[in-house]
Amino acid sequence: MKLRVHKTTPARPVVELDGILNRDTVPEVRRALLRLAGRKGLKELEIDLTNVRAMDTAGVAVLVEVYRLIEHRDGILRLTHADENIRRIIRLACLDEVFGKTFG
Amino acid sequence: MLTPSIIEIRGLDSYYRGRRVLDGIRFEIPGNQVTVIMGVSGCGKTTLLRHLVGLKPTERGRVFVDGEDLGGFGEQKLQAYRSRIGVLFQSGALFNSLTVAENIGVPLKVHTRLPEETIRIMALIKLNMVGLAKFGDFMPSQLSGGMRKRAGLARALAMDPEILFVDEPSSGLDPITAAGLDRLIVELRETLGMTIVVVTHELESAFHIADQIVVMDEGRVIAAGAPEEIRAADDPRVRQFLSRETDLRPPDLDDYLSIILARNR
Repeated sequence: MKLRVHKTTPARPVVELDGILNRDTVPEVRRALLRLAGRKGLKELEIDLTNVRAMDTAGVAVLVEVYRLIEHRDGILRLTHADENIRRIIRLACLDEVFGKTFG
Repeated sequence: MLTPSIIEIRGLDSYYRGRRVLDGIRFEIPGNQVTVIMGVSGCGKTTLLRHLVGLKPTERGRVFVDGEDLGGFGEQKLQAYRSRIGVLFQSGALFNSLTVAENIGVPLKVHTRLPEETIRIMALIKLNMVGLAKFGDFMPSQLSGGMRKRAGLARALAMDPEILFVDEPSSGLDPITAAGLDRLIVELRETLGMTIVVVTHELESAFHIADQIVVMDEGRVIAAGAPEEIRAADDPRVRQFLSRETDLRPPDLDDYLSIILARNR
Protein backbone atom coordinates (compact mmCIF):
# COMPACT_ATOMS: atom_id res chain seq x y z
CA MET A 1 0.00 0.00 0.00
CA LYS A 2 1.45 3.35 -1.05
CA LEU A 3 0.43 6.72 0.29
CA ARG A 4 1.17 10.02 -1.48
CA VAL A 5 0.30 13.43 -0.08
CA HIS A 6 -0.31 16.40 -2.37
CA LYS A 7 -0.34 19.63 -0.42
CA THR A 8 -2.52 21.69 -2.68
CA THR A 9 -2.70 23.99 0.33
CA PRO A 10 -1.52 23.07 3.86
CA ALA A 11 -5.07 23.36 5.15
CA ARG A 12 -6.49 21.15 2.38
CA PRO A 13 -4.13 18.29 1.57
CA VAL A 14 -5.02 15.42 -0.76
CA VAL A 15 -3.86 11.89 0.05
CA GLU A 16 -3.72 9.27 -2.66
CA LEU A 17 -3.85 5.66 -1.52
CA ASP A 18 -2.59 3.00 -3.91
CA GLY A 19 -3.04 -0.73 -3.35
CA ILE A 20 -5.15 -2.88 -1.03
CA LEU A 21 -6.38 -1.37 2.23
CA ASN A 22 -6.81 -4.33 4.55
CA ARG A 23 -5.74 -5.82 7.89
CA ASP A 24 -2.20 -6.37 6.56
CA THR A 25 -1.65 -2.89 5.13
CA VAL A 26 -3.60 -0.70 7.58
CA PRO A 27 -0.76 -0.68 10.17
CA GLU A 28 1.51 0.84 7.45
CA VAL A 29 -0.72 3.77 6.54
CA ARG A 30 -2.70 4.42 9.71
CA ARG A 31 -0.09 6.49 11.52
CA ALA A 32 0.51 8.74 8.49
CA LEU A 33 -3.23 9.26 7.95
CA LEU A 34 -3.87 10.09 11.62
CA ARG A 35 -0.89 12.44 11.73
CA LEU A 36 -2.25 14.29 8.72
CA ALA A 37 -5.82 14.35 10.05
CA GLY A 38 -4.66 15.69 13.41
CA ARG A 39 -2.52 18.47 11.96
CA LYS A 40 -3.15 21.95 13.31
CA GLY A 41 -4.95 24.23 10.90
CA LEU A 42 -6.32 21.41 8.76
CA LYS A 43 -9.72 22.35 7.33
CA GLU A 44 -10.32 19.59 4.85
CA LEU A 45 -8.67 16.29 4.03
CA GLU A 46 -9.33 14.54 0.75
CA ILE A 47 -8.51 10.83 0.51
CA ASP A 48 -8.40 9.79 -3.13
CA LEU A 49 -9.35 6.12 -3.42
CA THR A 50 -8.94 5.82 -7.23
CA ASN A 51 -6.18 3.24 -6.90
CA VAL A 52 -7.51 1.30 -3.92
CA ARG A 53 -8.19 -2.08 -5.51
CA ALA A 54 -9.81 -3.68 -2.45
CA MET A 55 -10.71 -2.82 1.11
CA ASP A 56 -11.84 -4.81 4.13
CA THR A 57 -13.28 -3.72 7.47
CA ALA A 58 -9.80 -2.84 8.78
CA GLY A 59 -9.77 -0.23 6.00
CA VAL A 60 -13.22 0.99 7.05
CA ALA A 61 -12.05 1.15 10.68
CA VAL A 62 -9.07 3.35 9.87
CA LEU A 63 -11.30 5.68 7.88
CA VAL A 64 -13.56 5.90 10.96
CA GLU A 65 -10.53 6.91 13.07
CA VAL A 66 -9.56 9.59 10.55
CA TYR A 67 -13.15 10.84 10.34
CA ARG A 68 -13.46 11.12 14.15
CA LEU A 69 -10.26 13.09 14.46
CA ILE A 70 -11.25 15.54 11.75
CA GLU A 71 -14.84 15.89 12.95
CA HIS A 72 -13.66 16.78 16.47
CA ARG A 73 -11.80 19.74 14.97
CA ASP A 74 -14.76 20.80 12.81
CA GLY A 75 -12.90 19.81 9.68
CA ILE A 76 -14.17 17.94 6.63
CA LEU A 77 -13.14 14.52 5.31
CA ARG A 78 -13.79 13.80 1.65
CA LEU A 79 -13.41 10.35 0.16
CA THR A 80 -13.11 10.65 -3.60
CA HIS A 81 -13.32 8.10 -6.41
CA ALA A 82 -14.54 5.28 -4.18
CA ASP A 83 -15.58 2.44 -6.47
CA GLU A 84 -18.70 0.34 -5.99
CA ASN A 85 -16.86 -2.34 -3.97
CA ILE A 86 -15.65 0.24 -1.46
CA ARG A 87 -19.09 1.78 -1.22
CA ARG A 88 -20.59 -1.66 -0.66
CA ILE A 89 -18.32 -2.50 2.24
CA ILE A 90 -19.07 0.90 3.77
CA ARG A 91 -22.78 0.10 3.39
CA LEU A 92 -22.21 -3.36 4.92
CA ALA A 93 -20.67 -1.61 7.93
CA CYS A 94 -23.78 0.64 8.03
CA LEU A 95 -21.56 3.71 7.71
CA ASP A 96 -22.93 5.00 4.42
CA GLU A 97 -24.78 7.72 6.30
CA VAL A 98 -21.45 8.95 7.66
CA PHE A 99 -19.23 8.40 4.65
CA GLY A 100 -21.90 8.91 2.00
CA LYS A 101 -21.68 12.64 2.74
CA THR A 102 -17.91 12.55 2.32
CA PHE A 103 -17.93 10.90 -1.13
CA GLY A 104 -16.68 13.42 -3.65
CA MET B 1 -22.23 -21.05 -12.70
CA LEU B 2 -19.90 -22.25 -9.95
CA THR B 3 -16.40 -20.84 -9.57
CA PRO B 4 -13.22 -22.99 -9.24
CA SER B 5 -13.07 -25.13 -6.11
CA ILE B 6 -11.23 -23.88 -3.08
CA ILE B 7 -11.75 -27.07 -1.03
CA GLU B 8 -12.03 -30.62 -2.33
CA ILE B 9 -13.11 -33.54 -0.18
CA ARG B 10 -12.15 -36.92 -1.60
CA GLY B 11 -13.29 -40.22 -0.14
CA LEU B 12 -13.35 -38.96 3.45
CA ASP B 13 -14.20 -41.47 6.16
CA SER B 14 -14.43 -40.60 9.83
CA TYR B 15 -14.93 -42.65 12.96
CA TYR B 16 -16.22 -41.89 16.44
CA ARG B 17 -15.68 -44.54 19.13
CA GLY B 18 -15.23 -47.14 16.45
CA ARG B 19 -18.46 -46.19 14.66
CA ARG B 20 -18.21 -44.84 11.12
CA VAL B 21 -19.82 -41.39 11.03
CA LEU B 22 -18.59 -40.28 7.59
CA ASP B 23 -18.51 -42.71 4.70
CA GLY B 24 -16.62 -41.83 1.52
CA ILE B 25 -17.58 -38.15 1.48
CA ARG B 26 -16.72 -36.58 -1.86
CA PHE B 27 -17.62 -33.11 -3.10
CA GLU B 28 -16.07 -29.73 -3.89
CA ILE B 29 -16.57 -26.31 -2.34
CA PRO B 30 -16.38 -23.55 -4.96
CA GLY B 31 -14.80 -20.21 -4.12
CA ASN B 32 -16.91 -17.07 -3.55
CA GLN B 33 -20.09 -19.12 -3.21
CA VAL B 34 -22.37 -20.27 -0.42
CA THR B 35 -22.34 -24.04 0.05
CA VAL B 36 -25.00 -25.39 2.37
CA ILE B 37 -24.54 -28.83 3.94
CA MET B 38 -27.93 -30.23 4.95
CA GLY B 39 -29.18 -33.36 6.59
CA VAL B 40 -31.01 -34.63 9.64
CA SER B 41 -29.42 -34.40 13.10
CA GLY B 42 -26.65 -36.95 13.57
CA CYS B 43 -25.95 -37.41 9.86
CA GLY B 44 -22.32 -36.30 10.25
CA LYS B 45 -22.54 -32.62 9.23
CA THR B 46 -20.70 -31.23 12.25
CA THR B 47 -18.04 -33.95 12.08
CA LEU B 48 -17.45 -33.02 8.45
CA LEU B 49 -17.13 -29.36 9.46
CA ARG B 50 -14.48 -30.28 12.05
CA HIS B 51 -12.46 -31.99 9.31
CA LEU B 52 -12.78 -28.97 7.00
CA VAL B 53 -11.43 -26.53 9.59
CA GLY B 54 -8.52 -28.83 10.50
CA LEU B 55 -9.76 -29.73 13.99
CA LYS B 56 -10.15 -33.43 13.30
CA PRO B 57 -7.37 -35.37 11.62
CA THR B 58 -8.28 -37.36 8.51
CA GLU B 59 -7.87 -41.10 8.90
CA ARG B 60 -9.02 -42.18 5.45
CA GLY B 61 -9.55 -39.91 2.46
CA ARG B 62 -8.28 -36.39 1.90
CA VAL B 63 -9.33 -32.76 2.27
CA PHE B 64 -7.53 -30.49 -0.19
CA VAL B 65 -7.34 -26.73 0.30
CA ASP B 66 -6.21 -24.89 -2.84
CA GLY B 67 -4.93 -28.24 -4.08
CA GLU B 68 -2.87 -29.01 -0.95
CA ASP B 69 -3.64 -31.85 1.47
CA LEU B 70 -4.91 -30.31 4.72
CA GLY B 71 -3.91 -33.49 6.58
CA GLY B 72 -0.28 -32.89 5.61
CA PHE B 73 -0.16 -29.31 6.93
CA GLY B 74 2.48 -28.63 9.57
CA GLU B 75 1.82 -26.24 12.47
CA GLN B 76 2.88 -23.16 10.46
CA LYS B 77 0.67 -23.96 7.45
CA LEU B 78 -2.22 -24.83 9.74
CA GLN B 79 -1.85 -21.44 11.46
CA ALA B 80 -1.81 -19.71 8.05
CA TYR B 81 -4.96 -21.63 7.04
CA ARG B 82 -6.67 -20.71 10.31
CA SER B 83 -5.95 -17.03 9.71
CA ARG B 84 -7.86 -17.36 6.41
CA ILE B 85 -10.95 -18.92 7.96
CA GLY B 86 -13.67 -17.95 10.40
CA VAL B 87 -15.60 -20.61 12.29
CA LEU B 88 -18.86 -20.50 14.23
CA PHE B 89 -19.67 -23.68 16.09
CA GLN B 90 -23.13 -24.44 17.46
CA SER B 91 -22.22 -23.33 20.97
CA GLY B 92 -20.87 -19.91 19.98
CA ALA B 93 -17.94 -20.60 22.38
CA LEU B 94 -17.08 -17.18 23.85
CA PHE B 95 -14.52 -16.47 26.57
CA ASN B 96 -16.54 -15.74 29.72
CA SER B 97 -13.86 -13.51 31.26
CA LEU B 98 -13.84 -11.05 28.33
CA THR B 99 -16.49 -8.55 27.23
CA VAL B 100 -18.34 -9.34 24.04
CA ALA B 101 -16.31 -6.75 22.06
CA GLU B 102 -13.05 -8.10 23.51
CA ASN B 103 -14.11 -11.58 22.42
CA ILE B 104 -14.56 -10.35 18.84
CA GLY B 105 -11.11 -8.76 18.96
CA VAL B 106 -9.29 -11.94 20.03
CA PRO B 107 -8.55 -13.31 16.53
CA LEU B 108 -7.38 -9.86 15.39
CA LYS B 109 -5.01 -9.57 18.37
CA VAL B 110 -3.61 -13.02 17.72
CA HIS B 111 -3.24 -12.85 13.94
CA THR B 112 -2.65 -9.18 13.00
CA ARG B 113 -0.52 -6.15 13.90
CA LEU B 114 -3.58 -3.89 14.08
CA PRO B 115 -3.64 -1.40 16.95
CA GLU B 116 -6.15 -1.64 19.81
CA GLU B 117 -8.44 1.16 18.63
CA THR B 118 -8.72 -0.17 15.05
CA ILE B 119 -9.55 -3.60 16.50
CA ARG B 120 -12.21 -2.05 18.75
CA ILE B 121 -13.88 -0.32 15.80
CA MET B 122 -13.73 -3.51 13.71
CA ALA B 123 -15.35 -5.42 16.59
CA LEU B 124 -18.16 -2.84 16.74
CA ILE B 125 -18.69 -3.10 12.97
CA LYS B 126 -19.04 -6.89 13.27
CA LEU B 127 -21.33 -6.65 16.27
CA ASN B 128 -23.53 -4.24 14.35
CA MET B 129 -23.66 -6.69 11.42
CA VAL B 130 -25.22 -9.30 13.71
CA GLY B 131 -27.52 -6.82 15.44
CA LEU B 132 -25.56 -6.52 18.70
CA ALA B 133 -24.01 -3.05 18.36
CA LYS B 134 -25.14 -2.01 21.84
CA PHE B 135 -23.81 -5.10 23.60
CA GLY B 136 -20.04 -4.72 23.13
CA ASP B 137 -19.45 -3.94 26.81
CA PHE B 138 -21.63 -6.79 28.08
CA MET B 139 -20.18 -10.00 29.45
CA PRO B 140 -21.20 -13.21 27.59
CA SER B 141 -23.10 -14.38 30.70
CA GLN B 142 -25.39 -11.35 30.31
CA LEU B 143 -26.52 -12.43 26.83
CA SER B 144 -29.27 -14.84 25.86
CA GLY B 145 -28.39 -18.05 23.98
CA GLY B 146 -29.37 -16.56 20.62
CA MET B 147 -27.35 -13.41 21.32
CA ARG B 148 -24.29 -15.47 22.26
CA LYS B 149 -24.67 -17.32 18.99
CA ARG B 150 -24.73 -14.04 17.06
CA ALA B 151 -21.72 -12.78 19.03
CA GLY B 152 -19.97 -16.00 18.03
CA LEU B 153 -20.75 -15.22 14.41
CA ALA B 154 -19.35 -11.70 14.85
CA ARG B 155 -16.15 -13.26 16.20
CA ALA B 156 -16.01 -15.67 13.24
CA LEU B 157 -16.24 -12.59 10.99
CA ALA B 158 -13.62 -10.60 12.91
CA MET B 159 -10.84 -11.17 10.40
CA ASP B 160 -13.02 -10.71 7.28
CA PRO B 161 -12.15 -14.33 6.57
CA GLU B 162 -11.72 -15.64 3.07
CA ILE B 163 -13.66 -18.78 4.07
CA LEU B 164 -16.42 -18.73 6.67
CA PHE B 165 -17.76 -21.94 8.25
CA VAL B 166 -20.96 -21.72 10.26
CA ASP B 167 -22.70 -24.54 12.08
CA GLU B 168 -26.46 -24.10 12.51
CA PRO B 169 -26.44 -20.27 12.48
CA SER B 170 -30.21 -19.98 12.95
CA SER B 171 -30.73 -22.47 15.77
CA GLY B 172 -32.33 -20.82 18.78
CA LEU B 173 -33.09 -17.59 16.91
CA ASP B 174 -36.47 -16.04 16.27
CA PRO B 175 -37.57 -16.05 12.58
CA ILE B 176 -36.84 -12.35 12.02
CA THR B 177 -33.32 -12.51 13.44
CA ALA B 178 -32.70 -15.74 11.51
CA ALA B 179 -33.81 -14.07 8.26
CA GLY B 180 -31.45 -11.17 9.05
CA LEU B 181 -28.55 -13.63 9.37
CA ASP B 182 -29.46 -15.21 6.02
CA ARG B 183 -29.36 -11.77 4.43
CA LEU B 184 -25.99 -11.07 6.07
CA ILE B 185 -24.52 -14.32 4.69
CA VAL B 186 -25.56 -13.39 1.16
CA GLU B 187 -24.22 -9.82 1.64
CA LEU B 188 -20.86 -11.14 2.86
CA ARG B 189 -20.53 -13.31 -0.21
CA GLU B 190 -21.50 -10.47 -2.55
CA THR B 191 -19.56 -7.68 -0.86
CA LEU B 192 -16.41 -9.39 0.40
CA GLY B 193 -16.42 -12.34 -2.00
CA MET B 194 -16.32 -14.77 0.92
CA THR B 195 -16.53 -18.50 0.43
CA ILE B 196 -19.16 -19.60 2.93
CA VAL B 197 -20.01 -23.08 4.19
CA VAL B 198 -23.20 -23.33 6.22
CA VAL B 199 -24.29 -26.46 8.05
CA THR B 200 -28.00 -26.44 8.68
CA HIS B 201 -31.19 -28.43 8.64
CA GLU B 202 -33.33 -25.32 8.06
CA LEU B 203 -34.76 -25.97 4.59
CA GLU B 204 -36.13 -22.49 3.90
CA SER B 205 -32.87 -20.82 4.90
CA ALA B 206 -30.80 -23.29 2.87
CA PHE B 207 -32.67 -22.68 -0.36
CA HIS B 208 -32.61 -18.94 0.24
CA ILE B 209 -28.85 -18.57 0.68
CA ALA B 210 -27.24 -21.49 -1.18
CA ASP B 211 -25.41 -21.50 -4.48
CA GLN B 212 -24.73 -25.19 -3.90
CA ILE B 213 -26.45 -27.68 -1.60
CA VAL B 214 -24.96 -30.93 -0.32
CA VAL B 215 -27.44 -33.34 1.28
CA MET B 216 -26.06 -35.89 3.74
CA ASP B 217 -27.68 -38.97 5.18
CA GLU B 218 -26.12 -41.47 7.58
CA GLY B 219 -22.60 -40.18 6.91
CA ARG B 220 -22.88 -40.17 3.12
CA VAL B 221 -23.49 -37.50 0.49
CA ILE B 222 -26.72 -38.47 -1.21
CA ALA B 223 -27.08 -35.38 -3.42
CA ALA B 224 -25.04 -32.31 -4.35
CA GLY B 225 -25.83 -29.54 -6.77
CA ALA B 226 -27.50 -26.19 -7.33
CA PRO B 227 -30.71 -25.61 -5.31
CA GLU B 228 -32.93 -26.27 -8.35
CA GLU B 229 -31.13 -29.59 -8.95
CA ILE B 230 -31.70 -30.62 -5.34
CA ARG B 231 -35.38 -29.68 -5.57
CA ALA B 232 -35.65 -31.87 -8.66
CA ALA B 233 -33.69 -34.81 -7.19
CA ASP B 234 -35.49 -38.13 -7.32
CA ASP B 235 -33.51 -39.89 -4.57
CA PRO B 236 -36.17 -41.05 -2.09
CA ARG B 237 -34.11 -39.96 0.98
CA VAL B 238 -33.64 -36.48 -0.49
CA ARG B 239 -37.34 -36.27 -1.28
CA GLN B 240 -38.15 -37.45 2.21
CA PHE B 241 -35.87 -34.82 3.75
CA LEU B 242 -37.28 -32.03 1.58
CA SER B 243 -40.86 -32.98 2.32
CA ARG B 244 -40.10 -33.38 6.04
CA GLU B 245 -41.51 -36.88 6.16
CA THR B 246 -40.62 -38.89 9.22
CA ASP B 247 -39.35 -42.43 9.02
CA LEU B 248 -41.94 -45.01 9.96
CA ARG B 249 -39.12 -47.40 10.69
CA PRO B 250 -36.21 -45.66 12.47
CA PRO B 251 -32.81 -46.51 10.92
CA ASP B 252 -31.45 -47.72 14.26
CA LEU B 253 -34.46 -49.96 15.02
CA ASP B 254 -32.35 -53.13 14.88
CA ASP B 255 -29.96 -51.73 17.51
CA TYR B 256 -32.91 -50.69 19.67
CA LEU B 257 -34.55 -54.10 19.44
CA SER B 258 -31.26 -55.83 20.27
CA ILE B 259 -30.92 -53.73 23.40
CA ILE B 260 -34.52 -53.91 24.62
CA LEU B 261 -34.85 -57.61 23.92
CA ALA B 262 -31.37 -58.34 25.31
CA ARG B 263 -30.65 -60.40 22.21
CA ASN B 264 -26.87 -60.14 22.37
CA ARG B 265 -26.41 -60.89 26.04
